[in-house]
Amino acid sequence: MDTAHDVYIPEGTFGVLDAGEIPVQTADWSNGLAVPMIQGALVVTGIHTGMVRATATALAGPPTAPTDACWEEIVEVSVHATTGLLRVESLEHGPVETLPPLSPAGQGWYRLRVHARGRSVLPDKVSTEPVEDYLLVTWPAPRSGADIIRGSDRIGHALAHAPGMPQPQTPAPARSAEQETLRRRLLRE
Amino acid sequence: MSQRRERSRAIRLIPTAVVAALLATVAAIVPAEAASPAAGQGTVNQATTDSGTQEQLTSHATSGSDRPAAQPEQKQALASEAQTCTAPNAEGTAVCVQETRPADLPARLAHSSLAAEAVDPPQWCEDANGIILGTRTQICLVTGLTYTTTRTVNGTTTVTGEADMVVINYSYSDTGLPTFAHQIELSMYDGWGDALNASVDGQATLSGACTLDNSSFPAQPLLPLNSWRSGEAFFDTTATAAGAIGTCATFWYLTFTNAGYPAAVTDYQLNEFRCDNATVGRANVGCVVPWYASELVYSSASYPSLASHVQQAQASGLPGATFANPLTRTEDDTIIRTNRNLACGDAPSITGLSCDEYPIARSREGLSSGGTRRTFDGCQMPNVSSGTGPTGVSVCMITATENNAQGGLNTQFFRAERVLDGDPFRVTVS
Repeated sequence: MDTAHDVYIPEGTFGVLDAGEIPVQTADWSNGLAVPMIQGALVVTGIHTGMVRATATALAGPPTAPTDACWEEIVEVSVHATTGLLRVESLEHGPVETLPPLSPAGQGWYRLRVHARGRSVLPDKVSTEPVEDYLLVTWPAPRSGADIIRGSDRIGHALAHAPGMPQPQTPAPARSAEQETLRRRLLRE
Repeated sequence: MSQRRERSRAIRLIPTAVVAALLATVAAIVPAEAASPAAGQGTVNQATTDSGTQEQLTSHATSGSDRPAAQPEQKQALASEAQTCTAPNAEGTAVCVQETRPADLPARLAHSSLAAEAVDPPQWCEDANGIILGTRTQICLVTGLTYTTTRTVNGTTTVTGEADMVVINYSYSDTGLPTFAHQIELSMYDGWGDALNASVDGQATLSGACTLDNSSFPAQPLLPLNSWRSGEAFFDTTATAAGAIGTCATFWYLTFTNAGYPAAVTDYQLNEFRCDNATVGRANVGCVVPWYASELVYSSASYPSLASHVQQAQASGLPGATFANPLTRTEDDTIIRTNRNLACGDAPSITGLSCDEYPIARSREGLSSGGTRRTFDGCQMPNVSSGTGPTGVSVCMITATENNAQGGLNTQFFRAERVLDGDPFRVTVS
């Protein structure tokens, strides 16, 4: 099993981000754990602030071994690696360099299976020591719908209240026309 | 405002070298004349503008640059910059330059150049008359310049000409490039006599953590009136190593040449950009105006309970909505953790809800800087009473998903605008 590494959580989520982009306005929050955006994904933690532990593995195809019973919650979603640089990231500290990249096949669609344990230990609290564990597994695969492999009360509550959650919006352009003009001028030199 | 007349006056000649030093960053404000809201001395509410100037006071630069703001540390102007004159040459002629604040600006400054070698300054440059205005990636300063020609015969000095000019210093960057530009343009809007025959050319230089990539300001005559003479210079930051942060002063030296007269040189300086490779989560170098408080907007349509709490908190006196009272980013994990603990450590556990604090824990204005908590009806925070005033923190149980989204919104914003530890930023609700 790959080594687990600490990930600092500033505000209740961490990322499986592509090139560091966070188009959060496009997020689908409906299952309450694995939150795909148009590019990359967020993972919702139990704690609000502090440390969790994470392991990550990039596979060539779907996992074949049976899932470990120690995982309390497992949700699988499709994630798009627009740039092909999918990495586990702390939203405060940036990429977790000790965890492997998760889109070794480059740009395109992947399945992301999020395994979680301990989200009900200190919900919404500060935890300087990790009380939650996550395993993130990816493999290249065509896009398909979310799959609740192992649910929980919290996931059930999220699904039931999904219509009341922030709905995915179209992303804002990266640069305004005015800034794009300035950028083009700067690139000419 | 034309002053076409022969003048005969004694001019005290300063027996110095040719250079007339005009440092644009030191120039500028006569506070009593700062009528434009955008020129506020740090206390004007930017939201209230005269309807006639509303359009000029918007920006479309970075997504966090909704409108320009005045550089907060502009020094008071001298009553007027001293006129600096060359020594007379063998024929007894001399020239003088003096930085002024033009009483009138040519109409439509924003469509000044249109030359191949420049970009249009934004419309809001019109409000940068004598003061530095900026957004997260732009700086503008407009000043006046008077160039005077004289001839001295048998101890009597006669003014033989005068040219009044508007000078625009416009500098711009991109949040994802290591290069920024300093553009200078001037236009003679009034003049008479021998001063009309002058030509101007420019040289760019620098001081600090950058190199000069390219610059161009070929010699051009001042005539005809109301024509723009411009130059561009491009600078590359040397602050490119991981974690590097650097600034660089950029200069334009303008030389006025005129047949039969000595040359005069005046210079302009800007130093308002910070380039860094220290924005966590961004793999590239970028340059921004660090004192500009970019705007982080929470959509009330998408995040109603979050937006409502922030709105109530700000209405009760807590900072963050304005340039005058922004929040300050902290990247200190201990401060963030303490802010959160003091605000929400005893919050109730209610399924589907999460404790929200404002100002946000990732700012220096959280409870670790002092103050007490307050809350509002319906927030479900026991043991917390209501309150008003500029210090402290508001707490409220809001929809958990919206609180989770806030983490993504905050980080997206900090990365997009390159908001580093200590930078100001605003939070508003749409």
